[in-house]
Amino acid sequence: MNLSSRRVFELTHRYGLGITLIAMVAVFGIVNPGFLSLASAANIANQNAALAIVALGMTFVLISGSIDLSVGSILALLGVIVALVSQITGDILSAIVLGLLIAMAVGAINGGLVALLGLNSVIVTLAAFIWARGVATALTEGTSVSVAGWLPTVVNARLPHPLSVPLVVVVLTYLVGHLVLAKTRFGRYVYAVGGGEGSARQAGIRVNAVRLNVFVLSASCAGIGAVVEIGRFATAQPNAGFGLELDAIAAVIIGGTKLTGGEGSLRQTLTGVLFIAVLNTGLATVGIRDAYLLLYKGLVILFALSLEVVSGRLAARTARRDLIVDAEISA
Amino acid sequence: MIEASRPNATNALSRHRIVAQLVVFGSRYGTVAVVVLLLLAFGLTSDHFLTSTNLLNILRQISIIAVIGIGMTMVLLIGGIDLSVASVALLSATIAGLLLAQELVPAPVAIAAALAAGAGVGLLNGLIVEKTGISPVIVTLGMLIGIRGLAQVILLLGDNWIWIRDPLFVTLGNGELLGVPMPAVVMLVGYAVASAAMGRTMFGRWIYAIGGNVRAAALSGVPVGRTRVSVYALSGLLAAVGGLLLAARIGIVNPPIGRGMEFAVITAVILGGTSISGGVGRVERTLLGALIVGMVLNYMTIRGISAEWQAAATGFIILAAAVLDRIAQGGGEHDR
Repeated sequence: MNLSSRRVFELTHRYGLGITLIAMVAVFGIVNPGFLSLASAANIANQNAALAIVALGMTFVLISGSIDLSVGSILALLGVIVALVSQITGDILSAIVLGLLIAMAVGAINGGLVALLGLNSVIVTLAAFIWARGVATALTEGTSVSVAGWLPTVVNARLPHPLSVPLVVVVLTYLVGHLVLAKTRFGRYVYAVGGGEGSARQAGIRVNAVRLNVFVLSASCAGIGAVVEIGRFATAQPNAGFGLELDAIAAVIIGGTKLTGGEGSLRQTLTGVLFIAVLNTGLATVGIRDAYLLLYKGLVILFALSLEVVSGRLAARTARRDLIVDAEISA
Repeated sequence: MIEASRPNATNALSRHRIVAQLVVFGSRYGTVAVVVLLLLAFGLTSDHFLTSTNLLNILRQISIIAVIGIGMTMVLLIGGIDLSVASVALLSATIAGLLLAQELVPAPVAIAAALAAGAGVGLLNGLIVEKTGISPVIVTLGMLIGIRGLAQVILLLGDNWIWIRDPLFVTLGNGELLGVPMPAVVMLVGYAVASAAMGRTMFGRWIYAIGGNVRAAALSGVPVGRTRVSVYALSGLLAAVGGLLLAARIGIVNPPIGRGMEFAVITAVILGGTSISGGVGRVERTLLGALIVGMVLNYMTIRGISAEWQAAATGFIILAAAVLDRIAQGGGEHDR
């Protein structure tokens, strides 16, 4: 009896997220059968491509033990800059290159303040969350800016379902990101810094450089996300990516990466992104009004997180009790 | 050679002492000094800034953020964070507004219901953080989303637009007491009570003990869990007070009100010098932090700077404050 309940808890702990995900897909599919089509899958991928790319950078930041609240605002700022530059020069490629360089510079400001001055990343990126959005709005005077050049044609090019250009970009960035995080020295350093700064320093790791680089990486991801978004809509909007940082953090955490740093992987993040993506698009396709959408979203996220924590704790507790029972039997 | 080098050595020593004293002065009175400097600078460069009407106006403008900041300061002091405050403010404004609009209950009962809802959400935040061990960033982030959703669902009952016409609310939002705007009176009373409570009660001492060192606090008999849950409940309660003030001031309740306000509140707390990693800070300094934000925004409005650039400037103010704070305290507070 004890053993079986323990197994249930352990299985719930390990596969709870997957089970919740399948249950969600089933519910959305029953309410709206169109949800279970290839076209709908392509739709989910397109709508959440920017989220996936931003969550990639966020994973590096969280593993290193920091947090980046500015990604949504940076995405808006970069979209606006690329669109404005493309209108001035008439050349989208140079606009994209310049935009990505500016993204790296913004990331370097965040990372520099965290790494060199030792400021808390919550404050630094909170400030960037506010100023980047402010600058984006001020540059456009609050209106949207259309994108000149071939970018929208390329991003919206028709590929066989469920493939799409945004999805291809996501797959490529995740392949590269995974290689960097799992196979390179920089990736190992990111884990080491998040696991314990003191020991990382003693091991000869240049902690400051690692901290600086994860923020540059995160801002660059927001820049890539911005290019995908303005390509999809053919316009840049200063209120783009509002709340994106929260979705990205939720996706990474739901995937199982800890806010305390030192743990996590991009495979886990991809699961978390899938969860948030299905939830976002699913709630919208079954025709839930905006007001209810946030409520359901908050509840499902809290449920998924509590399920994992509580089942993990129950599994540990029953395991302890079983040990005691075993000891008494053998005694 | 030795003789010659001696004066240099004493010089270096005394210079070092001056720097040390400056640092102590900066960390103790830095926020006050910034407020005074801004008052002088803005007063000298604008005829309108130092008028009593404008200064009272600033007090009215900062009152909501400052009131919510009391709870946020306590939450940061115990090493937590509460991102749900703006959503709780909307929920409280919605509940009070709807009860009054439908003429279901008298105003005091509506206010009590709104406050209870706020404290309830705060209690829930505290219990989830305490019982599950999930990071408060995540828990209160979930609440930020969920409670705003709940408030919007309730708002649908009032067609998304509730007028506040109750005389008590009109007085609360636009009335004056001895020439001071009512929201500012509520704020000042709140700070007087909170400051006394933090300095003179066991509860206040427990908060600092937990923020300083949780294990040491627990070992010396501080009821850590109960105190932490109470702090989150208090934060919810004060967010609800802020929501009522907001509804009273603008006279309507609709979905976008209060959106993003949690960041303005945290800004005020941090500008006041409270450490985001817990244990260090003073409630009454948050009022100074709110004053700095309020004065800068007010000055920019007088100077005709657009709202968009004001928003951008707010971000840079936080950065400047954080950098100054770091320099004043010396040393780093690296992430985890």
